[in-house]
Amino acid sequence: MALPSNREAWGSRLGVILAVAGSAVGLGNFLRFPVQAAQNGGGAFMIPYFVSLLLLGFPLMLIEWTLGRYGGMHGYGTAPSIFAVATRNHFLKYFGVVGIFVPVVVFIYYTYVESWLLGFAIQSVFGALMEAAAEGSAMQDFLLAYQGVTQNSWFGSIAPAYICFLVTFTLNFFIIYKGVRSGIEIFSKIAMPILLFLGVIIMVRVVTLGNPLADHPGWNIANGFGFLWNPDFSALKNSKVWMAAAGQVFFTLSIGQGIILTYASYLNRKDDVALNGLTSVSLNEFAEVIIGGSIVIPAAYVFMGPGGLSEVANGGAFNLGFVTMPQIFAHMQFGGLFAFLWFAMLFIAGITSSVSMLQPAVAFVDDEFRLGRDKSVLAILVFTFLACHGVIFGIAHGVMDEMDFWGGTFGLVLFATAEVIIFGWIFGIDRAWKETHFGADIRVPSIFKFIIKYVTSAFLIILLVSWTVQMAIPTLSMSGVAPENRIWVIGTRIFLAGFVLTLSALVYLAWQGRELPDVDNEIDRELTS
Amino acid sequence: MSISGWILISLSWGAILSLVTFCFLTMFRTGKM
Repeated sequence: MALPSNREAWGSRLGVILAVAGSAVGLGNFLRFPVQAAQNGGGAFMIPYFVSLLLLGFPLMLIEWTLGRYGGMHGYGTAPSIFAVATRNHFLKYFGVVGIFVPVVVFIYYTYVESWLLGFAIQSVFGALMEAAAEGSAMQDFLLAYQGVTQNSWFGSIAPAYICFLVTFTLNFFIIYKGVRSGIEIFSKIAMPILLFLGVIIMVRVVTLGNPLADHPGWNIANGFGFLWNPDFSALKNSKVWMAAAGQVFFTLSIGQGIILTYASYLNRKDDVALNGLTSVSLNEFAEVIIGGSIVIPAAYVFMGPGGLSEVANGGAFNLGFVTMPQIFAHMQFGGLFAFLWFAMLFIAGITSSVSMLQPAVAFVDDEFRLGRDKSVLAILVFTFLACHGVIFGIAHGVMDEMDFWGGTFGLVLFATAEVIIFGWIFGIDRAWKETHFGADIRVPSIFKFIIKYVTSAFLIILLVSWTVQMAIPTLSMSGVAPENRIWVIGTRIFLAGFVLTLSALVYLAWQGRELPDVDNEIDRELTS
Repeated sequence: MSISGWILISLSWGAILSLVTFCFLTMFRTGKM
């Protein structure tokens, strides 16, 4: 069966795989992963990490590719309608709202962070970044002044950051405006090889650092890798380590966001989803474990030693990327050039991800209200542009942290739980398995039927309950929020709640007078025969 | 780096590189790129 004629389609298999891999490979691969591994048992972390990849990451990837293609065959590319047609249940489409809410909310703050990477890449060659980095502690002040939080001799206003934001924002929307095949696919085919090439160059530079500080003979590159990989097996007894590994797998694969559902909805009926899903996972792991694990931790180790590295790692992945890495590059020959390559690589990783966050919202407006691509892109552009200003000017008041929690953390696990229950229990694992293998180039071992239905579901429910207790309740009660910032946090929550309600109302309006497809249609007959 | 560290990095890198190779070889073999 061909795609409904009004929907776009990918031009090539490599294009869609690189687009999904581009969505998955982001800042988390190069910054979050090595810090999580170093803090949670080193090499021993890889055991729960690979277990989570097998029980959570790969199954969810399969689910999203499969449900996405199935929805696309019915003419829908976003979670609300895909959930409705897959379950033949009108109520469940409202769970799908999370699959549009999450990517849009994450886009709103992620684009601003991404624009700092562009700014820092420019500053490392033409600006004062390397000068600040050479002074060591001045680098933190440089970052704060760039963000407009403070003012100093480097930045007197937020103008440079704002200009970089405008450029980044425009670039994102230019790619989206060009469409799936002419925009996202072509961009991914160019950007992903460049990203991997830059990653390998920086990795080779780090691996060949040797022992740059001769008065500290133990601070060598082999011990730098040891800091990340030497296992502390006692960490495996700690449930927090397992939760951290599961969380990392979640964040790194772009699952639980509705993005892959939308990307897969532009596939043709006979296009493979099993091998495509596995390939996108493998590319992401290459970027994360091999490249991401070989840059920040070993590089910081050889210049700071184990004590200094532990201190900066405890300060979080973000500071490691923006503050510590420039300080490290300042010690190297051609440090400005490597700092430029580092921030350029992260910027490319960021933009392939942020573009993917826009597509579900654009597809939602286009598919459900038939506005056409131009008007759909314009509607999302106006909304996100205005919303981004809350983050830009409220960054010192916790606006970004609040969005990151509800959109970029809690929303993911909530949506993924809904997906796995729909796929394994309501759509039905046997029908789902047939749908997965329709046109497939590999057979996924049947044990995954059991894993998806029972293990992945249970794993997600445990994760959801644990995150609710450990994080959602304390966040909701605003513990740790400074009194002067509470009004900003409350304002952000009103915005987020309003956005969910508006999306739900739009879903309701879109389905007014619309019938669910007859069970006896061409696609579903193939699954029950 | 300890011997167990070397073993873990070798296994992890080996598994990922094998997976990437398997995926792309299978795709080339099917002729659908």
